[in-house]
Amino acid sequence: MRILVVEDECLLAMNLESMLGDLGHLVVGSAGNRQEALSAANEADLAFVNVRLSDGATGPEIAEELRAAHGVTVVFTTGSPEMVSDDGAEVVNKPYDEEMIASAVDHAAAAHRRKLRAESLAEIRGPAAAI
Amino acid sequence: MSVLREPHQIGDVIGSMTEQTTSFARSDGLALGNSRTARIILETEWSGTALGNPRDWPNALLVTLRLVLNTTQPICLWWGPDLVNFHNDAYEPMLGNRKSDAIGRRARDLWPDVWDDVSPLVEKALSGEATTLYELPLMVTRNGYREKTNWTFSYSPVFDDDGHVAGMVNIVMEVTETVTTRQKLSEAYAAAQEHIRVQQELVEQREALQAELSHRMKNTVAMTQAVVSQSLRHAKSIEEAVDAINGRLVALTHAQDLLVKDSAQRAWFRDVVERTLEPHRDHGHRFHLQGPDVVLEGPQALGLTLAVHELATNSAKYGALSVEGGTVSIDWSLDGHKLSFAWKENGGPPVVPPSTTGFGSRLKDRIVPGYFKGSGKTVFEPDGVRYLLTGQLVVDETQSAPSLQAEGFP
Repeated sequence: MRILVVEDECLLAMNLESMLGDLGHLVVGSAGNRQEALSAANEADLAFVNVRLSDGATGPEIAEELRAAHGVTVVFTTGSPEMVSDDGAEVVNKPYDEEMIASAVDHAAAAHRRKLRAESLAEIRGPAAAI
Repeated sequence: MSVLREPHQIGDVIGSMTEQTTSFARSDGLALGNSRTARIILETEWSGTALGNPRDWPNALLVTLRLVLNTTQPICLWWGPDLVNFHNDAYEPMLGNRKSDAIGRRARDLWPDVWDDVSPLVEKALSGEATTLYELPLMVTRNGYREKTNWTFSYSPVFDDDGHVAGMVNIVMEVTETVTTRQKLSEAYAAAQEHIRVQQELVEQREALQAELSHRMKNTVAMTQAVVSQSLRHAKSIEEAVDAINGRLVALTHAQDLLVKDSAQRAWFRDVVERTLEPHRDHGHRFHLQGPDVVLEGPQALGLTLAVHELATNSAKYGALSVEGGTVSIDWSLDGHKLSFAWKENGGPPVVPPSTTGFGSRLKDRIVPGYFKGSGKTVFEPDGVRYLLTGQLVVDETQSAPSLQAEGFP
């Protein structure tokens, strides 16, 4: 999986990158804010998005843009789970360990594949439906 | 006429009862009783007035007067075409300074100031219809001082011996206590509501504070976890890892100490550097700090601490701080939001670049610059290590600096 890390606490970002690397995934970017996140979004399948960033609780907004414009599947990381609205996204509570990250990646990757399959089916059926 | 027969009969009965029981002095022949106002009525010279000699007053007036004068509830009686005023002792407070010559005066002369307001009620009473006004406020002097009082008034017709309306009575009931009690109750209710509101606000504040504390605690644990696992990952031995972890966590804790002093979780640049260098201060003047007053937001303060801690720790092992007389110049500057920080060692042993880079190097050269959205570089100059950090100062526009001043910062 190609993964984007959106976390403004650089030490935590680096630790998460290490964990993801150990799990055999490719970290395609590390972003501390919306702009950095969106510029690296095209290369990512999944994104770990921290809910509270230095510019406020902008995590959910960034997640929405990553999903809508770039088809990225989002996993939230947070120390305040109550701040994440239940939109079906995977949530990993801080502090987390490698096992929690591994399981989150598995779930998110499965969800990502389901979404891709659904999209390709829709593409195939689309023209047929038009006829 | 039949309507009037009954009151007459009842009056007779009461008359005979009073004769038997209280036996009012009949010397005046009017049997008005012993009240102050009764005596005033008796002492008044009536013969020249519209009402004439009291001996010729109609029975209805006398009966009504006896009722009025011997009642403890304030009542005034206005009688005849001129509405001549009578009242009882209890009514005196209503009159205030009009009291002295009120008896026998025409009502409109007695109350010129309120007559326009009162006359519609009077007209109604004289037409046979009673009116009640509830809880009217009135300033009254009766105990030597003016006080706010409340009264319920009822204006009712009074009939003459032939059953025609010949005047009116104004029966008054003081309701000051009722009104005051109700006002106090309603104030107490409002105060209780306010109390509940404040309580709820406090509860919400406490919950928000707890949530914030919980968030920070988890973040701190996550930071600790990252320091520990990254330190272990790159350590050559367990001993080295333990030392490195302890040093880094202590440095972070010191920075945290500075941050909690300020309600907005900020600290001065100089304080962060000095606090981090504290363990490395010995007798000599080893550190030369120079730079403007810069306020750091929490994460940047922690980042700076980590960098300074790594630099000082390395220097104490291999650099200027490892020998007597070695010094470090620490300079920082701010240009708009562009921040630069320089660490330069002097007077240490000849510099030998390390063969491998550990987590400490990654911290100051890669991770810490991330907090400043900039870059960090360590140069192993022969006369002493130089470290340069450049980046952007994060400024939280919603906060203003004064709270730092209030906390005793320079």
